[in-house]
Amino acid sequence: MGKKLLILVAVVSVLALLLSACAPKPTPQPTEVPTEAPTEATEAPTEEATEAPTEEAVTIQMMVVDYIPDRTDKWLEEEVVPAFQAEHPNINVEFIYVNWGTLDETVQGYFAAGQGADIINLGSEYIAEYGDRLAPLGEYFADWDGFAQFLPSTLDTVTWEGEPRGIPWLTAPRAYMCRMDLLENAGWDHVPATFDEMVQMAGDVTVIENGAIVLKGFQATGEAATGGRGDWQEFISLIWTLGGTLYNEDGTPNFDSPEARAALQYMYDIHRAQFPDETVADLPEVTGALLASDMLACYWGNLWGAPPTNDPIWERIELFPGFTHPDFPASSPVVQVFNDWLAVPAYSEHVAEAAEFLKFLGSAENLNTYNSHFGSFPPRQDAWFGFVEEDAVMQRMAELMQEYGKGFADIRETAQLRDILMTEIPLFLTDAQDLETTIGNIQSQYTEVLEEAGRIP
Amino acid sequence: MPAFLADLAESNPRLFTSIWAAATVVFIILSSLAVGGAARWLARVRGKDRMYRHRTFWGYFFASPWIVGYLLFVLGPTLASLYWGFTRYKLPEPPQWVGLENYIELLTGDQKFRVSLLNSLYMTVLGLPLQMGAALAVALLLYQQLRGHHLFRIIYYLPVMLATSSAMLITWRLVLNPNNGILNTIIREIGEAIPPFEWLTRAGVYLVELSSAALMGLQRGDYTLLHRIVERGFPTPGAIPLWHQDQLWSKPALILIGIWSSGAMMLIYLSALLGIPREILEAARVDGASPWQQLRHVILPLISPATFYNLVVGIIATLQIFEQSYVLTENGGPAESTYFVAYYLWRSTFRFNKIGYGAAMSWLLLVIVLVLTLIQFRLSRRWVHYA
Amino acid sequence: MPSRFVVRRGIYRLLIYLLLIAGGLFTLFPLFWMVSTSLKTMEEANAPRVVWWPARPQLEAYARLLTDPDWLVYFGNSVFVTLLAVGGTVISISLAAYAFSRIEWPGRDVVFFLMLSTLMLPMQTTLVPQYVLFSRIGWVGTFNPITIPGFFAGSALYIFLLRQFMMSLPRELDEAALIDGANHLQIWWHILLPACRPILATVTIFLFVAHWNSLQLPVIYLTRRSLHTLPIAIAAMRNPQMVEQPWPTIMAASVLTLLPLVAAFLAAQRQVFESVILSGVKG
Repeated sequence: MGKKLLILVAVVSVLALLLSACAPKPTPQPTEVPTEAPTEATEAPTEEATEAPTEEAVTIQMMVVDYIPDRTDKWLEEEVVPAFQAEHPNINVEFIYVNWGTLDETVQGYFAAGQGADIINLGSEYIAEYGDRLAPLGEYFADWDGFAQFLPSTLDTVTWEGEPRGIPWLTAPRAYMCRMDLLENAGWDHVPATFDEMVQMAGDVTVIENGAIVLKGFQATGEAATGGRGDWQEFISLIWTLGGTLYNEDGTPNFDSPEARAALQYMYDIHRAQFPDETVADLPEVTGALLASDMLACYWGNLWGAPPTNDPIWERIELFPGFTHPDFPASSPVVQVFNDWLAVPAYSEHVAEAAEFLKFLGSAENLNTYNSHFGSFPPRQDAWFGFVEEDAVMQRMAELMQEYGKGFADIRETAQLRDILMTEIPLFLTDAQDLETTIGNIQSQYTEVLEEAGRIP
Repeated sequence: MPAFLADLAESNPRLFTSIWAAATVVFIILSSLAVGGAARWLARVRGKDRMYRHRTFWGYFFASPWIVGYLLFVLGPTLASLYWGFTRYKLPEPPQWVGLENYIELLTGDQKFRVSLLNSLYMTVLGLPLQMGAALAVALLLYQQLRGHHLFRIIYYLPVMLATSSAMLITWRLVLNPNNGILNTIIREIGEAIPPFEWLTRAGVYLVELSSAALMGLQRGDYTLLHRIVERGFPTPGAIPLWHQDQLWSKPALILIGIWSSGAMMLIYLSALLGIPREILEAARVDGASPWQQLRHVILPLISPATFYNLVVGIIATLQIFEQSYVLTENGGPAESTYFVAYYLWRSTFRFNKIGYGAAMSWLLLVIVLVLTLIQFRLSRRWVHYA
Repeated sequence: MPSRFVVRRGIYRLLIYLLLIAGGLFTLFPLFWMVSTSLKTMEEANAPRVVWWPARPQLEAYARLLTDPDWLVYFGNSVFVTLLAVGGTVISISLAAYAFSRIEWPGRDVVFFLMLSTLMLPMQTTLVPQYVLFSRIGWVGTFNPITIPGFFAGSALYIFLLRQFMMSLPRELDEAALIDGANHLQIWWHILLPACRPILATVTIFLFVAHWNSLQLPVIYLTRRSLHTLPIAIAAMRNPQMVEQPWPTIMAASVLTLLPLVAAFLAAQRQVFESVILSGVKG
């Protein structure tokens, strides 16, 4: 009797084992690394003998979300880790690759379980969300000269309660870019200098055929996902441009400020200038950068979403930081600086080793190589050589960032704020509710969220 | 978990799970023997005869995988969730008892929950009848059993297999692109060629926008949009559906996909139709009933159990829409217009880490499903005729 | 008279065919569009005018995907997860269905009622606590949470279906075998399972579809890219943060993902239709 069942069990397990055996290896496994690195590794211990003679072998895991498949991963595994192990033969590093679509679930899962990767790759706005669950790294960075080289605006995004919780890894500033040839066709010989001019320009340039936009004056980077109904990150950037703040002194939200109202009204006006009513279809999702497609004149975003910087089309594109508002004397263009960064969660059992690897990854050379993969900026000033210097567009962006840069940081309870704004802004832009209702909703809902999270009493 | 297993989970996850699977099989066999043995021992204690003990052993032996699974994966989690529904629970902190707070917030304060429920209501009231109508129409056509009906049956049923795949939903996103998507292009071109079709499209656009705007008013207590659409009047020539770009069109886009994949309902109808005795239809025909009269007075009453089944299952399914909100319209957008209860629950729990709140919502969902089903069973007595 | 009748009949048939074909075109259209787009060049996919079929179909996107080691991993993961979960579930639910249909045992009705009651329980009720349970035992980030629970006969609907089918089989079959000294395991394996082949095929294909398309659970549990299955990979391909949407590649990936479903359905369609029409069950 049991025989049949045993056979069945055997069949199932053999099948499963077969499948797992013939499984192709997922992207080069870190286990292969030591075999490639023995030459350096054997030399290293003699030199470093004083530092780590009898330390146990430790494997740390690093979760990576910003990477170019087949490029960044190869570089990390085949170059960075062997070089790191030459200095620290007892520390092995393994990588876990995830993608942005599931990053939130992954990170939530790590913290929920109290276990997971020892280094995690976070977006610019996460510090307020996870800051208190990340290990303070001040003491580990105390002897690191390189730390002083990081741009202050990038350090904002990794600092919580006065302590660094990680290192900035990738810096992507967002600025405005306009196709001057398309602007000229609509009678504009200069880029807009004020909020009103932006609205005017957008209306002048936009062309609608058959109920669908075929040429659009302006689009912000996040609007591809909202069908042209606003980008919540642009909203925040506009508030800052007008000289406003997101929070009051006491930590309560400040979304009913005159600056927030003006920003929202501007978003409505520019939307209405391009969409006479809500029956017009927005630009399609195309392959390649919209700015290169002759369908879009002005764009707000980072260089990743723009045409490649060596594209000759850049001769016709003007890169500028933004515009001002005559009614707001304090208004000044703001280049929103996004810093993706690497943090060490407090649950990690290998904080020291992880910090050691962060210092290694954070060297000027490593940051330069890494950021060359994305056309982004190394967050360290002394790492701005090579591709950063040689490229005219990068140079211009660098100037803008230095003069107008403001870190996209300290956004509290980001995930929920994002949901609130992504609901309320489109409702206002499509005339489903008026300005007062919208401001009131954002303010009251966000206050509730902050209260519930214990951030305000 | 032993260290080598944890390493294996990283280095060869398939082998890791295979080992767990093999261990699970062994565990199931052992637990089945144990459950069966315990049941037989109880039977012996109670002084039952050999045959009875034999049957007891084998019954529990065979049912044991389900019983053990129920205890591990259903009963325990269900009780935990019932408890957490009364707590504030944000991992990694332990749950904190808050009484009925979550339920009160859901029922009185939480606009998103109301929005989700009303979105489901819209799908049920407008979408479900359309789906069922399309399914019935196709079933009636196939019921004629003309040559090739097997082929058509395959074609119409195929979408059921594909509908929830993210590959299919992304394809729909491409097809439905409001600007240059193929569907809107076709609508535009036919409209230019045949003016009445153009007029029909505009009437459809008007109808959808009015109904969606009315719903939005109900959801947010703000009827501005409805007023504006009424003021604007009948859509101008060239008006096209905006699908996932617009909060008024995102649910109709999902309804369209629902109609496209209504093959499962179609099959239920077809099997009901095939179950109608030929003599009854023959008698109706002899009595001189027109095809319409036959449908209305003979066929529909006879297949009412199938309609009832489709209705019950369809309502539960609309409450549980998830993939569409996640893939096609992205995060339940635009402006929460594709938030459905299951999606909102998932988002509260896994994005916002509000576990107690999510648990409370799942219990409300259960109650809603139960109440709706009970009401339908009650009402069904009036119109469902069991042969 | 007969001639008029024949003409009317002919028109009637023509009308039905026209309607069926129109509906069929609507049904197949998205699939056609998927295949067509997957064969286009980037220019054709972007073209403002409709390109119904590419001038020179490109297989480049397919070649790229099929040689991409990551895609092979996703594909392998999907196959692995689906086979293991479906295999485990089919065997265990057939055991449970046997218990509920072929053996008389004390407490059977109570257990059966309990099982049916889980049908009413929305999956979301147990989703959260299961997540907490699995994260406590270190299963998050492994395939276990989406495969192992299936081994415990985790789908009441299909147990019910199988049980109904088994009830309809004549009892003489196993009674004769019992008298011949066979035990229940042998009867289950040698007599019942072969007799249940059509319904087993149906249940298998429904489970296959459910696991192959599954997104909600894998997104939560398969937290690493090396664990991702095809649905997650495809959902992540369309990156809303990026302006660039490589539609031909996305569509080629979709074709490759859906092909096994279509093939499995075509292979099993007869059994599916027979058992659904016989029992009136929805997939």
